Amino acid sequence: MKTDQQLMASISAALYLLTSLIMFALAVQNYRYGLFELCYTASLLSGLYLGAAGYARFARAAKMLRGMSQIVLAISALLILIESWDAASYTRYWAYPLALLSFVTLRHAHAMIANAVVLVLLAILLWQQSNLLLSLAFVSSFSLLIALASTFAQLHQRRSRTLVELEIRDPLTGAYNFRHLEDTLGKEICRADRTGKALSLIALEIDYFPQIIDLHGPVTTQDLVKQFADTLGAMIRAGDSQYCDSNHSFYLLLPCTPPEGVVVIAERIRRTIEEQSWPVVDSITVSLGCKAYRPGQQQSDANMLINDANIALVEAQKNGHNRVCHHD
Amino acid sequence: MAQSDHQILTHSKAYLFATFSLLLLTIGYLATGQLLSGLMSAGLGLTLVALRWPPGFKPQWTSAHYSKLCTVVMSLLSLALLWFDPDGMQLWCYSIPLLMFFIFEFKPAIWLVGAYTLILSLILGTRQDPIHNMEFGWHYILLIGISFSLVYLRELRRRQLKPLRRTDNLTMAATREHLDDDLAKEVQRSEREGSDLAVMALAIDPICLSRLSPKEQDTVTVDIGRLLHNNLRLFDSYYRWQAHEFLIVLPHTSSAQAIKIANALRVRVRKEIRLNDEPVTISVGISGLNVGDDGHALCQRATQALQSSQEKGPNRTQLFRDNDEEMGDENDTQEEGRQDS
Repeated sequence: MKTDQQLMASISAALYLLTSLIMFALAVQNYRYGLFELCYTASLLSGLYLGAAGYARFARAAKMLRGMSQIVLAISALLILIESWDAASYTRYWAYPLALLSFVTLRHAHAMIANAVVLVLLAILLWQQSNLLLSLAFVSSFSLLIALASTFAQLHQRRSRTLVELEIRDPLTGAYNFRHLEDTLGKEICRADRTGKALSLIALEIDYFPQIIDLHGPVTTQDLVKQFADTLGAMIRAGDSQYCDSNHSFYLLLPCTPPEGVVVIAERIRRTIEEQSWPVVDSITVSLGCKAYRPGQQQSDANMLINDANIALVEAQKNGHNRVCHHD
Repeated sequence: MAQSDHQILTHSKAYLFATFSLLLLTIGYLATGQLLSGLMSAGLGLTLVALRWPPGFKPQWTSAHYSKLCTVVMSLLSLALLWFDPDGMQLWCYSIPLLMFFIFEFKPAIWLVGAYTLILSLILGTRQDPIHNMEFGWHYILLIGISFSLVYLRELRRRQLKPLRRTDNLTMAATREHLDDDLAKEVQRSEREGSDLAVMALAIDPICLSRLSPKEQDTVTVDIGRLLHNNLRLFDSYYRWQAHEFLIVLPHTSSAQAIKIANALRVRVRKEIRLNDEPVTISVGISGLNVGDDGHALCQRATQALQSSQEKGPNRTQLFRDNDEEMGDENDTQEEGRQDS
């Protein structure tokens, strides 16, 4: 699965390449019809977009990609406007693809402003060179296109945001994310109150994980985290669930498990992790903080349980790592 | 396509500006005596206005159909303008493909854009203006290419979002696709913990439904969804099973407890949900988990119980029984009578 950044980079690269090819074809055609001015502009643009396509293909960060797009689109808008001083009846066609391109690659607000400027300037030029009616026809159709493109862009933005909100799994480990833990824990507490059966939560962290990241870099450590999550997932029973937050702290939610059960499970996890051999670093150990919730004895909500489990985890780490601690 | 998506388009400033400048254009054409072009651009402007301010609909003539019709009218008008007044209005053809992609679903939109492009190139072929044709044509191709990328992004996000949307927008109920998964988990869990599990099928009575218009039926369904949301326990889950039918999964609940819950719900619905001053009633079918059952069987039996309770009359609860389905629900009916008085 590609990340959004890679997706945008490859889409931009493909679009710039397509634009470059079409500009090249235009340059050739204009040359054949003897429109040398237009031919120059088209071949300039063709080269520009080819460079942009290459850059987008290898750009690493979203910011760099966007900055490049801003420059490229600004230059091409400028070229088209300069060309329009005497041939606006031809160059009015050129503004349309540019408008769409800007909505794909730029921020929504920037694209809106840029297109409004192009709209006004081209409309004035068209009015001067031919007549008002032509200019009005341009204005109306161009603004409808802007409306459509901006709607697409806005919907895309909104959907991307909902996607982040609705996603319940951590992309790297496949475990559920922290927000889902809070939701599920609330439900499980209510359930435990109803059935009278205990509920347990384990918080665990790989020991000295920040140092491991410093030593091996965040990218290579990803393999370790992934395999660690898989191992944990295989160790818990059906009905238990596994969560992972952004700091690579893991949580295991064990419904219907009394404190005595948690001891056994936590100890088993600690031993298995210790004895196994791992990628990147040869061996790792884990610290575990356990919290059992006995309905009827105390009232508690999701955040308090998570907090207690974390306190136990910190205590385990303070006592020298590689051990299990309980919160009472 | 959802209503709000349309509103983003039609309420945007650029859209209003397009409508306004089209109006000016129409006046300009008419003032200079170009009657045909004037009429056609007036037609374009009117379709834009019609998309922005749709009239009230009869139920069978939905707003989706309406905006599709508007789009087709608009594309025909733009082609006609291109035929009669090639110089001024060919720019309109640039906006139409994206509009088609916006209004129609992906597949029909592809066909429409294809057909539109074909007619467009035929019309352009009859014109003796190679330079304009060339400039227009290449940019048209480019425009279609970029439109595809916008549409691709849209389809991609839709596909990513679909499995994540757990709840139905209308009623806050979880969607039916999640039922099988969740129910299988619950069955597994109740086997592990040795606890009860009951499934409840709940529907608005046909007699009530027949009194209501489709729009009112939806309102009532939303109301019931809200009532379920407020009255069920945190760990119960409810699903939109059919248009006016819900399926509710009740963990740690025996059949007897489920009957109590169902009766309480029935009474609440009857008391709290009214439309046109007439109470709305629901019927409920219940099935409890036996050893060896799977989720599918549970759902089937709950809906069977619901059907048999609806056959007996409105506002009843019925528990599924294997042998004697005649097992009466006199208790419920009596209780019901008490509530009435």
